[in-house]
Amino acid sequence: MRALCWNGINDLSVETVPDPGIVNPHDAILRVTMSTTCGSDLHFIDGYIPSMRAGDVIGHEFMGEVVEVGSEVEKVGQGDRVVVPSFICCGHCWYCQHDLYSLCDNTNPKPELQEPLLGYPTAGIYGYTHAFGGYAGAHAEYVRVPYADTDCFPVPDEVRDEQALFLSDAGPTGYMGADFCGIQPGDTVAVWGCGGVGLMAQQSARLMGADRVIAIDRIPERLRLAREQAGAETIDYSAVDSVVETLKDMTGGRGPDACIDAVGMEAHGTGPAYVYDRAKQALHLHTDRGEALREAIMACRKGGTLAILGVYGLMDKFPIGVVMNKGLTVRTAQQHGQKYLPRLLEHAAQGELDPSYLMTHKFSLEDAPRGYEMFKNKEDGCVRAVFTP
Amino acid sequence: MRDGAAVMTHANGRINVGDVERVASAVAGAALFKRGLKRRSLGGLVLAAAGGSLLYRGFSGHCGLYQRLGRDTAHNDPTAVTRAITIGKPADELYRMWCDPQILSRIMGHFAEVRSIGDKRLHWSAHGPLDRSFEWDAEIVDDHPDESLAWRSLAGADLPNEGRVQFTPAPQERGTEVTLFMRFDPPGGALGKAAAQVLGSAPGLLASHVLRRFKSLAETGEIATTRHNPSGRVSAV
Repeated sequence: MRALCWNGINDLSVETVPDPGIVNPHDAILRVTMSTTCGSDLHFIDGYIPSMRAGDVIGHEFMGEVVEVGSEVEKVGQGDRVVVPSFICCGHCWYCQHDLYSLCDNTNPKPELQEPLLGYPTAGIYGYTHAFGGYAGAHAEYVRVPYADTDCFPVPDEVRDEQALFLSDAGPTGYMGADFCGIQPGDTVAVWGCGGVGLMAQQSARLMGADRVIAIDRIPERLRLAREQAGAETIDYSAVDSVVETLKDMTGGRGPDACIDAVGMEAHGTGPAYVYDRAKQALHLHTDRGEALREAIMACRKGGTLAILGVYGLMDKFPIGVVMNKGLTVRTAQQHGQKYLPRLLEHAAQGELDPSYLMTHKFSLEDAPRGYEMFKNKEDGCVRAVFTP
Repeated sequence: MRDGAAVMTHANGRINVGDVERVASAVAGAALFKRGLKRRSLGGLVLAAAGGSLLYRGFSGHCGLYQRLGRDTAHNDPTAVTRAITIGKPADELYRMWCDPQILSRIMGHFAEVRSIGDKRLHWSAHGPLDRSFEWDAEIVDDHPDESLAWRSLAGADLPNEGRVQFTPAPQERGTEVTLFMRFDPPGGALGKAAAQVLGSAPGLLASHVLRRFKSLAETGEIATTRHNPSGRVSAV
């Protein structure tokens, strides 16, 4: 089959690789209908996250049709149209049973790659480094889905493919972020980042009853989407002196009740802290640029909630003293997609949440490298590049 | 334990040079000694003296330099490791699983195969580098059903070892805490080095792996794998 492979830093190519097959009794094989780029892919494409190997098939956000199931699969069958969360989860361990799916104990076959850094292994991911299991990704014609009963979610007829696609990752991640905020009536939620996850977080915050949503970014097309799709007020951080002061002014001097970081380790910024971050990154002395996160910490009202969705490695210069003295609640995790998908599909079926506008650009799988280039450089207003095999 | 590894007391100390190294030392020493005597010069005497000490080192198995450096290539240190994991199943179910040699084989993964050879006895076959295998028989030496199980390799084992697994209820509904203790006594010399390689650079890793695989099998009925994983590489994984 044809598949998009990582062959080195910023080196992607579409190659012919073996088809996947049923290996374990709870597996299913999907024919991929569509798959999409995600901001977190850039972290390993750029080489900031280690343990990729030349030849790895990438792609972790996808939906498709079941073509084959293992002997123990009961809930899905051949021909089912399904969406699958990026994290591979067994459904039986303590973590899965407590809705902490991305912390699954049983789906990383290479725990020794994570334990030195994290102390414990977490769930495996499709197409996202060997530290996260080394599973082949979904920018391909077919993909093997372990634990199909837990991880395949049938898509209702009313929900189109391009709506279901983004419920594999961007949707549940953003929704979880809004859920973390514990939104109360009258709350203002500020979201850093108007990429796929940020926009989903903004829409979700609205759905959960936030009084105001304020979105922060610098790309005009993305700020426009925030206004149009999420009804958000927007701040262009490159056009104001201080995002923190602007947010204070907008909220009667209180600061937002909750702040969501949907930017992550490759934050763009200005000023001495950013220069410091970039210098250390170039010297491989630390992995993260923490501009957005630091700003969110400073801006959040006292006693407020900080939801961290951005992916990070190791950061120094983290203002923990500010967090402590302001009494902030920090909630963070990789997406627990299996927890949120049922209600997300319900929202989509009711017409309350439609993420299909995220598909700004569509490519054949054969042109996927060009798609990633466009996505990475944010050319032509690209928010997400979607591939069809 | 091989009898050859018996410690010999000597005027200068014990054996601290491995077998293969001793032979090499003796051969080199003899050659140097001969060459040195042939030269019939001061330089030749020095060579002969060097050859002589290498010869002595080969025959006695003791090296003064090694002793000063704290090096010992004759004995590989025993490795003992303890690891624990919590599994969401009751102790009696896990105990029954652990008693099944087929399940033991599965959770040992690449390390070893296990089969029953009679009442409370198992035969183990561990895979080493260069296709050599390490074989041993083991017997259950202590058995408290649903609580713990201890085993020990029998005489003649290629890789002497002992182990113990304990099943303790975990708090609330978390299931059972499973604690695994393993101790390996690799034989001396090159054989021991190969055995040490079988165990891997971190025997704790082996214990962790075994427990994780046991947990996956118990909780989900299968073990996560990336066998036959599609990639742009020629190799299978």
